[in-house]
Amino acid sequence: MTTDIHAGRAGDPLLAVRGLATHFTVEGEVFRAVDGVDLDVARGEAVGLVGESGSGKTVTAMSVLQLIPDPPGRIVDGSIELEGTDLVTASDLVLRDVRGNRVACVFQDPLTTLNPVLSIGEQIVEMIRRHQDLSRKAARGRARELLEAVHIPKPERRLDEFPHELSGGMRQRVVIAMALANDPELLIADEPTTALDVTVQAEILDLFIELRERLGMALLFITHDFGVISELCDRVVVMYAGKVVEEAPVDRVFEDPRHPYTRRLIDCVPALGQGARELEVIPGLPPALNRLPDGCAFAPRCDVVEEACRRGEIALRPLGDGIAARCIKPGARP
Amino acid sequence: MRAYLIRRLLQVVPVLFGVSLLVFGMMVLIPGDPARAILGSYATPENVAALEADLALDQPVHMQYVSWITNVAQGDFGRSYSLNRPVFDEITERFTATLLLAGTALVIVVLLGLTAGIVAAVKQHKWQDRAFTIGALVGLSMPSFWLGLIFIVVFALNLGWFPTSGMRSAFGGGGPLDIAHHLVLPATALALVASGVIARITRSNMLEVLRADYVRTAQSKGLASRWVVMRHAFRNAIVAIVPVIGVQIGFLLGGAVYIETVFGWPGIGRMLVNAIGTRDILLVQGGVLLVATSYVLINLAADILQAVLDPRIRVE
Ligand SMILES: Nc1ncnc2c1ncn2[C@@H]1O[C@H](COP(=O)(O)OP(=O)(O)O)[C@@H](O)[C@H]1O
Ligand code: SF4
Ligand SMILES: [Mg+2]
Repeated sequence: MTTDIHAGRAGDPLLAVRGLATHFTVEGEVFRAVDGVDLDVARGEAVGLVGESGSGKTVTAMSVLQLIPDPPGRIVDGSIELEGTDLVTASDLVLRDVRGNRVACVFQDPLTTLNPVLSIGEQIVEMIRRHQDLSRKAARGRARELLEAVHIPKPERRLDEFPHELSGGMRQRVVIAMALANDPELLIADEPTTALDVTVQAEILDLFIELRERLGMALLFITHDFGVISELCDRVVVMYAGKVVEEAPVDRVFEDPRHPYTRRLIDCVPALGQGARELEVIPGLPPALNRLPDGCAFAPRCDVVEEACRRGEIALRPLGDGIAARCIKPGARP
Repeated sequence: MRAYLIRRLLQVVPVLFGVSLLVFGMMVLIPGDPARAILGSYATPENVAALEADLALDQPVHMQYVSWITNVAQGDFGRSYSLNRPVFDEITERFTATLLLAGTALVIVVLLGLTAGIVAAVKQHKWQDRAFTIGALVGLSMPSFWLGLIFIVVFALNLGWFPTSGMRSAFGGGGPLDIAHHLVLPATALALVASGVIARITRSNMLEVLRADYVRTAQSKGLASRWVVMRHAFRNAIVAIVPVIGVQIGFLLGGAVYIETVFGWPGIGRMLVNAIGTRDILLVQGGVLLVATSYVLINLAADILQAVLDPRIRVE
């Protein structure tokens, strides 16, 4: 373990990921998709997990639920504790009681995450009855309430409809309703707006904000878009090439990002009212996960890189006030 | 759903019409005098004249068709001269035997093919999958009549577990158990190749749907993996498998010709082979019409079942 910044926080977190390493083996090559990730989510806290595509956000989330396809993937190291229960070593039975009940999930693409041949009602009722001792009829009533709670009009009729009869935004609302079915303590949302139209994105985001205020569950919100984070999250964790490179409270990170990668990501967010302008992107690509460079993985793209950056492992260093960065020159600017 | 059903049923009408034209054409295309050909060389002139009137041979071809199809629609397929009994009685009896054989084979195909395919997909890269691949290869590379001959040699002649041929024992036979006993070898021989086909398509469809996002969603709900595999993965995979099963039923009916010959099973395939040999035209006509119509209806049923299973097809 490279850091102890989590040790000082008051109380035990709901979710505590320590030294998580999830690797994929494809044609004999090992891809270190997640490589030594530490992550805490406190009760009721909303944590944003940010990073470019391929940085290991989804793999981190799927590792929490032990849903990494094996083969090719495997959790090779680390622990994932949900209030003291290590999910990595937990039995299938324990895991099945956690999934959908204590930890629920909303995925990226609502077009593919719902089963196309089962009605909306069947899919929600199934989720409810797996974890609550309710009659079919009572579960259906609860499903109807859930659809109402996520503002789906004519919920009674929707229950008998199939996913293809709903728009993308409506489907994502259904997925969210389903995830809330058993009042989870932690909701993991993996880029829940990315696949949607821009106007619908805003609506779904508003829904998350509203639900969090009303229900108060903890949230691990994954996105590649820093803009989404500020309204919704308390704390931000930035990932790059399978590692956490910065974590900080939301208000601090926008003011004063400590890691050059975080700073560049924030620069990519269009300011209010300039959405149409050409977005800045970080030149270059993340490193290949089967050939990670020595030293800082961001060095080839960093605008303040120097010789020392390429030598040896760089630790995630606590910088006070709940901030940490994996950089030898935190806060440096070109 | 209702609109889909009506449309699908209406589509079948021209197909059946085409089938009937082809079958009717068999008679028109016979060289020489059809009535004489139908009745055989020992027919009396009176009989020939009566049949010619019955077939409306003195009228134009389209009127002949109308009178033929009217008779057929009433179950009157004429009389088989070689068997000296109504064609209708013969073909329904024979077809029942074939349906029993092909139907039993179908049950084996569905149980064996689907189970093997699901297990192989779920246990991908494990020994079950390897055993499956070898088994499917052997099953698929062996013609059913050859398999039938091996079965007869091994299980009937050497081990004596099953009868070598026929559908009923000569003495005291004919009960359900007796028929079932006769059914085991031909039905299994007939089923194995089609089982291999269904198993392979099931395996590949299952592998595809097991990777689908909604399967991950199902897992994330905390459902048992058996439930995820059956209700979420298989329930989707079966949609694309049903039409293939429909096609395989066609092959079972077609393959029954060989198996019926090898096992002396009194089905419609063997009847057709005999009827062609004795040039019993009305019998051939009736048999072909029945088999062809059942092909069309089976595929219709498969399409409708597919629509029942997949809500997306219904609204198209
Ligand atoms: N099913 C898989 N098979 C092979 N490699 C995978 C698989 N899933 C993820 N990976 C690897 O993990 C890396 C990170 O993926 P992911 O966590 O999905 O990134 P993101 O941050 O965009 O969610 C990918 O670039 C890939 O190398
Ligand atoms: S360690 Fe060096 S290369 Fe890496 S982000 Fe910091 S300054 Fe840039
Ligand atoms: Mg992702």
